[in-house]
Amino acid sequence: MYDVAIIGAGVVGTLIARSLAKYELKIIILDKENDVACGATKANSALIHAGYDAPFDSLRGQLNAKGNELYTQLSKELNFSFERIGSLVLGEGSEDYKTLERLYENGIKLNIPGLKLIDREELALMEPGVNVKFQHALYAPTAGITEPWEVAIAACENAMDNGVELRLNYAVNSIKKDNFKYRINDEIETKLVINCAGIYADYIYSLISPNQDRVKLSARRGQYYLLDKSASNIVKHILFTCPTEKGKGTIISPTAHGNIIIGPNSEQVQKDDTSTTFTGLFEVLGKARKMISEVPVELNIANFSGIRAEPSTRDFIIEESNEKRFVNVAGIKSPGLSSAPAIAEYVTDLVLQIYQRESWVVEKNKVFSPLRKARYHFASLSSDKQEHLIKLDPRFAHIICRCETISEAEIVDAIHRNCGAKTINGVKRRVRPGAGRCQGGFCGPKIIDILSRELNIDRTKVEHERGGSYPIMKERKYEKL
Amino acid sequence: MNVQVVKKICISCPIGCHLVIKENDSNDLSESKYIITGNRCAKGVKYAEEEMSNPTRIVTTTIAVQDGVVKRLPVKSNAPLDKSIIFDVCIELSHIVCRAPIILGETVLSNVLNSGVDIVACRTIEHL
Amino acid sequence: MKNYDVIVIGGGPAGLSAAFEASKSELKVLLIERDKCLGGILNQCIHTGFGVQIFKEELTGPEYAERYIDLIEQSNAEVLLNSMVVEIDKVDRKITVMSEYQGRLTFTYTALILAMGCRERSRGSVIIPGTRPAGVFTAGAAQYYTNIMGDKIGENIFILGSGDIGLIMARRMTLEGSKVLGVAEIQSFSSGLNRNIVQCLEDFEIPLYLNHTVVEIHGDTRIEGVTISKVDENYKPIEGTQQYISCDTLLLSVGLIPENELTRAAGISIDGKTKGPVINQEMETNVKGIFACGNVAQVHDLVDFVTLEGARAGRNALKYVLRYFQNRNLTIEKESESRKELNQEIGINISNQFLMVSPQVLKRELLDVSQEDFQVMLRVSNPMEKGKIIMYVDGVKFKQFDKKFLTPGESIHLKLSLSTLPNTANNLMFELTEV
Repeated sequence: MYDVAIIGAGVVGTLIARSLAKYELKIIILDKENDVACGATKANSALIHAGYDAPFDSLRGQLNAKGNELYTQLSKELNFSFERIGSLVLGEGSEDYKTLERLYENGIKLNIPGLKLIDREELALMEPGVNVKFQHALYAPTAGITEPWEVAIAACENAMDNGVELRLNYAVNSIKKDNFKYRINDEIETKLVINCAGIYADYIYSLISPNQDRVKLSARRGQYYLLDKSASNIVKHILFTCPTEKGKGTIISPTAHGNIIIGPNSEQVQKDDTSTTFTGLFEVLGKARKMISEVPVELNIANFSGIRAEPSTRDFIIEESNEKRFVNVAGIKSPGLSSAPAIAEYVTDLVLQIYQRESWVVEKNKVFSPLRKARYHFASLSSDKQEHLIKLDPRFAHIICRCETISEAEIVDAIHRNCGAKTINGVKRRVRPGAGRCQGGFCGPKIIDILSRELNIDRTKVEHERGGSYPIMKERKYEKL
Repeated sequence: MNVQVVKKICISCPIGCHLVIKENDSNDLSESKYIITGNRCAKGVKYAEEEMSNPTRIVTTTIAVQDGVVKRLPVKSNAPLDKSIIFDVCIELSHIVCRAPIILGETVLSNVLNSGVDIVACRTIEHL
Repeated sequence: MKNYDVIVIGGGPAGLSAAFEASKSELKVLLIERDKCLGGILNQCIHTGFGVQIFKEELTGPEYAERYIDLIEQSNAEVLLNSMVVEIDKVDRKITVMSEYQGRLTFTYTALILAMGCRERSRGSVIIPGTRPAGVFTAGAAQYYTNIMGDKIGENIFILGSGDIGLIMARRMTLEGSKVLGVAEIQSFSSGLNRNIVQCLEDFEIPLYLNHTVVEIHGDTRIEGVTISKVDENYKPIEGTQQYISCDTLLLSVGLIPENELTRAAGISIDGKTKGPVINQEMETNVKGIFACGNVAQVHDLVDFVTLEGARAGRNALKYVLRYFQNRNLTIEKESESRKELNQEIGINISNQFLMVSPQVLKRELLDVSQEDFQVMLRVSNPMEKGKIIMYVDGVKFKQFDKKFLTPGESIHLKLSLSTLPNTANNLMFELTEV
């Protein structure tokens, strides 16, 4: 019997798990995919919004402002990369200027630090490449960049280090209520359910409340370009087009690893449609070219798209549902990643309130450790440290990925930690082999060998991404002589 | 009389000469059957004549290696094989296993499918 | 820290040849290779066609490699396997190496030869929309899985790009029992060698779709199919020409790019057309004592040319080292000063009928006067049955070369001599017109 079952191992679910692990609770995270962070968490703009955009009186506005603030400490505890490089919303004419003013005032109400409306001259100093037609900008120094999947992986690892269980490849197809407990798929019993199932949160809620009309989600898809590191000098800040009805606009931004990300657009699609299209990609490129005229699209290394869960309420739905002790955390559209740490605190409070109401006792977890061990980033270490590590484990000197200079030891470490990598892309998200310009052309076969060896599975059973995505069909076996 | 003209690209070397092969309508039997132009060397003539009568190809593939520093041994036919038996030769070779060490040029299968052609190792492979 | 006179990075055909040439002396030469054996990409190129220029016979890739590996083994060059160079420090003439069995190593050099080869362009660089399933491979990666690992990577295969590797893999997969459904080429011609179209596609009745490209990839876990479309002259898909092809594997043979991350990080100038270091006729980069050869300098059509280029780099590196020691008494400043004066360079330019030219500069003061004959390598942008290449010196027509069957897939080599150029020359220009 669990105290809490969290459905969905995205950045929201894993951060909630980690936050609840500070209490003496028996917690399990369930996810239908073969790794954490496989939904919206793995495909988004990878940035932490300053928080001026969402209305000051909405949950989104308040949680974004708070979430941004929490990232500083969270990134230190969980050891993921986070850098406040600042954002600029670009304004063209007087209409845009009005929008910028509105955003500024909204931000002031939410106490967003350092907001500033700047003119052309200042803008040109900050971003020389920006098109001359932009006369104004809203500068937000606290906006930052991170690796969204690594936030979730780190949160999950730390949660597991503190006793939380993770069950992957586990699709939830039934939830039944039985007095003071819920039974998931007729086997997992839990006092509380927290529904963090992203775009499928409506489906999960309907399992317990078939006629519900509270959580209604539609899928909005955004498409992206990722440019090689050699394009990294084109912008220094996160650049936004002026927001419209549809969303916060398109961005051009450096990523946490020195690439450039461009996107998204916004299209209504089916829930599982994460394909890219010529139309969508051209739309994104067109918008980017309005911001800076020279977009080196020839340095593109990958395109992807992500799905955002658009709730009919237009605000985050974070509440105990009509079914007691069943908490919905749904419709976490943008700025979901930015808000996630604040959502985790919010939900933790909610859980504690429920405990109080039910007159259940919950103690603080006295052995909780908030710290998650950093990854090695061998290539960026000093020569002394490198030599020291090689003495400890010679596999540090075996470079597997030459684009990103990743050693075998780093990959093995990423596989054997809690919430370890089990797929080729799982390794890529954790330690980046295959994320560089050759996109795994050279290191792919080696990663398969390492996964096969470390997980003790056949090479033909190593997955590329989702369950069943095997690159190798058959090994040509033969009878020994 | 209709003189048949065939255009072929010579594959004897990477240059890939554009050959024009014309049937020789002369009745003089001492002359060759075809008039070949476009070739830069004598190989072009030989290739064109063979291609018109009995096309052949060198076959390359790999075979399994046991106890070697690498898993597969690249091999080739030491002479061109009839185009028609190429697939059968590949299937035949897919069942063969070689034990390291292997020396470049070593015959790994002689007279493959009674073609009179041997399959030889294209690489030296040391014992593990 | 060990010292070497010449260090060669990369044990493929360029590096093997460069190291062998440099080792024909008393100099200390080190050849560094990241794989567990020498030969580079030749080890997976099991087809024939190598060595026609140099050995006048058709060898397979591994056979060709082994000839040079044997030479290296008999030479006094040292070989370091399983080792990746991670940094070049051009000021201190020092490199840092991560070696699987020996840890972190540093070496100093007098001359350094870059021979890291090239890599394949990936899906991102050609922008193919659709899903991102397993089963999409670059052709070279597919070749590695098939020929080195012995894996079967697909049953029903479609190929995008008709460069040589794509064509070779079409045949290879067919012989391995897979069905190759077709090859799409966005241009109106194949950039592969003619012979490969014949012996890799026509022999097996594999259709070649010219002016076609893949516009969408389908499938969730494993690729289930591709949509191909005809394109117009601007490579834009033409509405209504789409067709769906059901397949479980897509191979991409969409071009090669010299692998110059180390080079760039070391601050060596890169040519915008070859994407390799700017080199002169001695294969020297703009950093003195650092040479480049083979596919790291520009992508070649034939390995024989790579070998010849490697030899040239090796020879000149050797000469450079000898001269460096002769001038040892000069202070560094003085040496660089005198070099600056000597470093009179002649630029080589091309019209846009050419994709690239190599070398990009000529050095007047040679390491060895016997090398005053040099070769200019050109690649045309479009196929041409008959063309004349006109060479201008400082804007004045200097020489004309008549050529037949020009195609982007095949390099053109023009022999020139430095002494025939006027003393005043500071710019060469090559233009091409159709005859």
